[in-house]
Amino acid sequence: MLQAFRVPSFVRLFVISFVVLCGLVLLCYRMAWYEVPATEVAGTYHRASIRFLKVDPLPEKVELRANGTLVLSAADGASIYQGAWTWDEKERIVRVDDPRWDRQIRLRSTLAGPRLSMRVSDLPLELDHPEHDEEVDLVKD
Amino acid sequence: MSALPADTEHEKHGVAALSVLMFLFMFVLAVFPGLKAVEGLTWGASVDFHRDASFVRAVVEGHYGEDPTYLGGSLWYTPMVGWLEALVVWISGLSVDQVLVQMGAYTNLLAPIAFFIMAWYFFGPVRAVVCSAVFLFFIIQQEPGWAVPTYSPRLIPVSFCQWFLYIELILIDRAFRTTRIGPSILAGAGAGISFLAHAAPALISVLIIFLFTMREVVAAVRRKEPSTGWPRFRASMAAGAAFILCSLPLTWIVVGQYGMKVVNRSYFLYNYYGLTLREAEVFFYHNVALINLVALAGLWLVFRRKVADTTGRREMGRWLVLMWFAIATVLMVYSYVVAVLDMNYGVQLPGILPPFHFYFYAKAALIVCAGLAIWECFVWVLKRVRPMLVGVEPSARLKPVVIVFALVAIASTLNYPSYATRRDVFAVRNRNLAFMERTNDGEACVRINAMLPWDAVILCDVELSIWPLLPSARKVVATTRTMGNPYLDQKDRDRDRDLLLLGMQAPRADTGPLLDAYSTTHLLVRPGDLASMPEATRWFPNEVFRDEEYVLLKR
Repeated sequence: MLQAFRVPSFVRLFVISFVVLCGLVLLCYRMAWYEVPATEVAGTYHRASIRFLKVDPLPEKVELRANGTLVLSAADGASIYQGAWTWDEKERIVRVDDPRWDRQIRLRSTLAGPRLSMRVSDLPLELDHPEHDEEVDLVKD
Repeated sequence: MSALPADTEHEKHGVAALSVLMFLFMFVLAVFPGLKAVEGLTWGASVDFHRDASFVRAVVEGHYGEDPTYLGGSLWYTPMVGWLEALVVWISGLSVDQVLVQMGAYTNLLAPIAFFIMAWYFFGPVRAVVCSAVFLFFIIQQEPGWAVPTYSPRLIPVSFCQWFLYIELILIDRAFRTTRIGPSILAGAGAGISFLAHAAPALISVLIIFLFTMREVVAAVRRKEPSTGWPRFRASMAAGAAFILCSLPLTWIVVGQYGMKVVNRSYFLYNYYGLTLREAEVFFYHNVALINLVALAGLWLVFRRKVADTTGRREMGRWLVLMWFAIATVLMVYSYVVAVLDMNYGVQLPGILPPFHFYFYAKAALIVCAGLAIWECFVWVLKRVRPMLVGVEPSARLKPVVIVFALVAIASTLNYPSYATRRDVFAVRNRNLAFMERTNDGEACVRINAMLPWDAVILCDVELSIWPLLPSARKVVATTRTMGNPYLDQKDRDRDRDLLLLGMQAPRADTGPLLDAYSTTHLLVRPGDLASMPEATRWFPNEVFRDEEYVLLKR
């Protein structure tokens, strides 16, 4: 394999490839991990449609109010939950005092930018031993 | 590009060098989320971690070979991961639980490395790069890491031990290229060592060796030259002997002591929820995906197309992939049928492992097929755009290789944000963080382990038997069925535990004899439970430990 490096044109190609790939590594890192402050997370979201998974019992509307209040509502407007929320910026997750909703909404990176998603399972994260961690996206209104 | 070396041999070396570079690029990208997933963790929330911690503590405390959960029981779980973890605990001085939860990010890197080596060995460097891209970035999507063959940062046997199969396939190829005994012994030893790590890759390896042996022996008989099959048969017998020898640290106990008689069948009746009919929608959600369609097309290609290469490796690789997929699929279906018949109709067929372990390996074979299909598709397009390449092997030429690598790099980059923040990494990390928060860094388990001797036996309910007891490696009257020794009766233990707990609520004649029968020394309850257990302090008058969540009493 090292014999290839005796040919100058290959060395040039290899170095260029190396530099390009290093650049892509940096680009990937920046696309995946960036800080998202609570002010950016705050807003009103609705549940995106999703194939196959049963998501009807989940809130249709998620309001992460800037004053620190979380309001979850069903499709008919009925309130499902109301309480305080905080944003764990390092872990990119919404913290709520109620174990049912704590750590259920997190932020993940996508090619189109940061996106909130909500666990489909109604089991609190820590008690869900089989790890039903399927998620549905939340779309900002 | 026009100045590239014309010499084909140089081009081949160049392709190899670029393939290594591409693999390193993908490898580095995969490492970042793995390391971030375990950063700062001291405890893992998974029941599998608790079970593994109990076996590691058994080794660390000098009780290798003993069941850490049931007094008088022997080792029943594949021990290699525990050995490795105990070794790192010993070398690093870190706590057992910190090693368990962090080590996987490093050790599991062996999986993509071994996969790449295996794919290169059979199909060449370029196809290996494409297959590895599928393995690392495209097969996992949003499925749990323990259900899909990929790099996942948790050190649990299913995720870690896959590399044994990938290397074992190379050993099998080398064994069947000759009838010399040496390579066969190596292949048998590899399968035996795999068995110490995880039964699934070992079983698939053994069945491949068996079927290849049968194929050659039957061919010899058909040629009416049965004696020509003898050297192969002899070499495979040597492989079998090496397997038995290398697997002795476990088989000595489970065969020698338990006679492989499984009494508690719960372990292999467990199933990944995404493979159950009850949650079929989850299966479709994860598997109705373009990459799986490509993989199936690849499987068809592998099945249909014989490969004529000078080394014969690609043709052998083709056979191995087909056999690997077929065996894993048959075992998955069989294990599924075993579970369904047992749980719904009480019919007890011999069990092997939970079906998802074989789903895992069937998918691993499909990853190879997907990678091959993508390459073939590229070649098909290339030969239509550049007809002068017809009759040329594009994987040996720099120009097409650079193009396909550029496409792989672009696809990996575009997919990377989703991949790097996938659930397998960050939902799991958050579960661990929640667990650390609730348990105050595993305080109760650490204290139980520190205060109680190795042979202390604790009476408690099922939930407490998992946490905080299971990882403490202290004994229990009955744990949850899926974590109980499969060679010891679980039903009696479950019944007796329930009777004993009733005996803590009201006087019962059988309480004393049952406590003695299990050599019970302690009672672990929640503080709130004690009010409904007036008999508890009669049988266990001494308080050993109390916090907001637990009270530990001693006889």
